[in-house]
Amino acid sequence: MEERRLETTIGNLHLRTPLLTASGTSGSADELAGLRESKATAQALGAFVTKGVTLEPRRGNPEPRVIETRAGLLNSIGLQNKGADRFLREDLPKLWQYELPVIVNISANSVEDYAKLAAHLLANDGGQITGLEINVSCPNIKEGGVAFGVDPKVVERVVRGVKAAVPRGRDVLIVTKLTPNITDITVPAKAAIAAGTDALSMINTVRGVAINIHTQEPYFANVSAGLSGPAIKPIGLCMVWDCFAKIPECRRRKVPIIGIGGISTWEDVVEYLLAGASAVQVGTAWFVYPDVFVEMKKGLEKYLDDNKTTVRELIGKAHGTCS
Amino acid sequence: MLPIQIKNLLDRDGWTLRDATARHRGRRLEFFFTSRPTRAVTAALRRIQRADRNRFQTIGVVIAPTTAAMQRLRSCANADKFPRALFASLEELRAVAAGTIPVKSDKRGGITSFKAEILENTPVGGAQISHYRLAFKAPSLQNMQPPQFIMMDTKPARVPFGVRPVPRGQLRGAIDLTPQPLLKRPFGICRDFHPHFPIDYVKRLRLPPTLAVALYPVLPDHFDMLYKVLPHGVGTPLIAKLKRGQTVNMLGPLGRPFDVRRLRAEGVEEVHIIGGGVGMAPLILLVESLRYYGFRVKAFLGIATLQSLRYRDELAATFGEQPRDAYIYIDDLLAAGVPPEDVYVSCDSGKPARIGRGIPPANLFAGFVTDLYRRETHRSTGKTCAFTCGPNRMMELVVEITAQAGIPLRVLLEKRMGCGMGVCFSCVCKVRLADGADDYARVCTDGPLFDAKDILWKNDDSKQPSATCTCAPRS
Ligand SMILES: Cc1cc2nc3c(=O)[nH]c(=O)nc-3n(C[C@H](O)[C@H](O)[C@H](O)COP(=O)(O)OP(=O)(O)OC[C@H]3O[C@@H](n4cnc5c(N)ncnc54)[C@H](O)[C@@H]3O)c2cc1C
Ligand SMILES: Cc1cc2nc3c(=O)[nH]c(=O)nc-3n(C[C@H](O)[C@H](O)[C@H](O)COP(=O)(O)O)c2cc1C
Ligand code: FES
Repeated sequence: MEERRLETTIGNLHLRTPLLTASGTSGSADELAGLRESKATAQALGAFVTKGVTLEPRRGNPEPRVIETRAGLLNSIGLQNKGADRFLREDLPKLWQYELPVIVNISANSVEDYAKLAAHLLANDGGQITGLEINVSCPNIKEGGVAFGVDPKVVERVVRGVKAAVPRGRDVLIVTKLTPNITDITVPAKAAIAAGTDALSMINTVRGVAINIHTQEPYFANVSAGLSGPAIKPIGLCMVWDCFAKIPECRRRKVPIIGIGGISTWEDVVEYLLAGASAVQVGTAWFVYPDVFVEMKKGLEKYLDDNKTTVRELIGKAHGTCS
Repeated sequence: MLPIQIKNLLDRDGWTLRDATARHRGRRLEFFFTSRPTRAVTAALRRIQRADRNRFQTIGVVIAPTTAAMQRLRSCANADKFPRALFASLEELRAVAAGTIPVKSDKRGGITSFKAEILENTPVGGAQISHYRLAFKAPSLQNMQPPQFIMMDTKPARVPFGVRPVPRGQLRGAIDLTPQPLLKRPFGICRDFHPHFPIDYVKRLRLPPTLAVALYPVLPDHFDMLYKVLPHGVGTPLIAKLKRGQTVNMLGPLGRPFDVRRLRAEGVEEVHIIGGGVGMAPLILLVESLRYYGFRVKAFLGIATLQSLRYRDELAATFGEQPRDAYIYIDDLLAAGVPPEDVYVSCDSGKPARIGRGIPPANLFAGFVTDLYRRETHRSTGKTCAFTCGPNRMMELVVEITAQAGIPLRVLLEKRMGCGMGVCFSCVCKVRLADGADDYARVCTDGPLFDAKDILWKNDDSKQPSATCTCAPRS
């Protein structure tokens, strides 16, 4: 019983803990294995979300690729990755060794390519992929990316396409990752739900710009980049809150929310749970403090003990008083 | 009795072995066999250390049956049980006797986050301070090997974000408005210190060259880095404020290690080190390792002014020596075992005044280090290779010079880093792959050392990395 207080559920997937890696910030098996504390980290995780995978390899954007801001990080990586085939061959089998559910983050340039990529992955993964996270929200690629995520009709088509690509008889969790670069996040959220997504994850990075006052020109070749880290926590929290409050499927946890954005301490995790997230992803904080998952798990356990409660009971609890 | 293999190895170097003692022109190695610390060995080693003082004429060598056992004995936690001993394993000695040179793989691993205790944070350069020397203690980093690096926080551990402790009634100072950098900063390690070994032990140590590739000192627990406070930087000015006794969160060891014994296998005899300013810092540990294994090292240092390198070396006191006036880089190179006649210095601002220390005046030069190096390339003896680190423009010139002279070159790259662990793809540099295509490699996991011929220097779609960040309004 003791161990179960950290458990949570996303769709049909039971998670040992509500702590997930955030796409693009967790590397893959090789990077995790490089850490002396890799075992403890894997034990603190509920699932592993991979970095963004595309059908073909992508080289990513020119340098510079990251700029630190006050309490945050602007990145313009541009989804550098080895492509689906090498991911399947080199990364997936190693990730599988950690005995964690593996959720693959997928990106593409067209509605059709999302479906093609999903079908390709699921046909060649030897059953090792637990879920797909559809990234319709990357601000750093010219095509697709955010432009997709803000148009509810496109979101709906992308999600439908990916759902249809799941082979019959296989239970694959479909998560849709939403962008915060929009006035009302519930609009694309509802579109994704209408298309049958099993869960929502939010938020991806917030668009931002940095200008070098010495050269008097923008730092990034693409001018704008994506902001992450502690700076965006209130934004992510607000969007989780809105979806939980305004979308009945989220409120009933039929379509659970995975909270993302600036989560750096166990207190942040509790806040997101209270706002309505069923699980969370941690990105930037992991760079700053590689022990973060281990420490979060400890902190969370103590909080649950002190308050005699469980993760499941905390989800959306803060809404109780303001419905 | 020592196995015949060791005797054969020593023979090749002209040493004679009787019982458990090898001799050569007044130098002695005394061998001990053990797989764990024992009182008798400790007492014997202590006697040797006391009689020899720091002349390194007589050295104890502890031989463990297996390499794994040797690694356990070498741990810096055991340093007092094996005072000033070198270590070897029978396994490796046999392999060396059979003609193989042990070379560690360049795989990364064992990255850990740890707390380092600051021992010293000394300004360098008199009136216009821009360099600092930071010494810290971190047994967790003992397995670090050149040219691996660390990433460190810019604030002491446990100071909560933005709030600092203040005396009662002085709340105005409670909120720290200085910018709070989120990310750690990457730095190379300049020197490491082995308990019981004085800072310049490599200079005094003269090991039989054939045997040396299988002898190891105790693992280090003190480390030194040299860093430059950037004029518009946010992190380095904060690092400069760290005080002795404070602890700082660090991450390491990062990057791929480079085992210099690999060069022995390649037949290299002479190694050129070309360092531009603070770029010399991370190369010095490599130099120490090269000298330990008996390579000839010529070091070419480019600096702005000699004055900017002066500082008061307090660390000498840790080894029972008087604090003294020293020059960073120059004294580090000499301590790492480079003979003075192989140290070359060029100053942009004019020919440096006499440095002393036995460095011949002909080795001092006015102008850029690349011009100095160009002059000296043809004077190499035997098979040569080179290492460089410094400003981009300098490195590009060194690439040209070495290419013309037919000297293989490796470069140490510094890039903006996010994580240091290979997960964020922010530290990339363009490289040519074996199949001719180009790709972005990560400096933190594929580097920091690269073969110069793999790097695409003219990288048109990249902006020059700038020294400033957007963190902060500056006063
Ligand atoms: C592998 C490696 C080894 C290094 N070794 C040393 C060393 O031994 N001594 C030393 O003085 N410096 C070294 N540097 C450079 C050092 O990391 C930067 O000078 C330092 O991070 C600047 O920090 P800042 O906060 O003052 O600068 P800011 O400009 O305020 O920093 C903003 C961001 O830019 C990055 N950045 C700025 N300049 C550089 C640079 N030249 N290289 C890489 N990142 C940069 C910072 O890390 C930070 O993320 C090394 C860098 C790397 C990658
Ligand atoms: C360097 C970096 C790379 C990222 N790459 C991806 C990606 O490939 N796919 C994706 O959906 N999100 C990506 N993200 C967004 C993160 O997954 C996450 O949504 C965002 O960083 C906010 O969380 P955080 O504040 O905890 O970092 C990336 C973020 C960073 C900082
Ligand atoms: S610093 Fe993150 S990949 Fe190199």
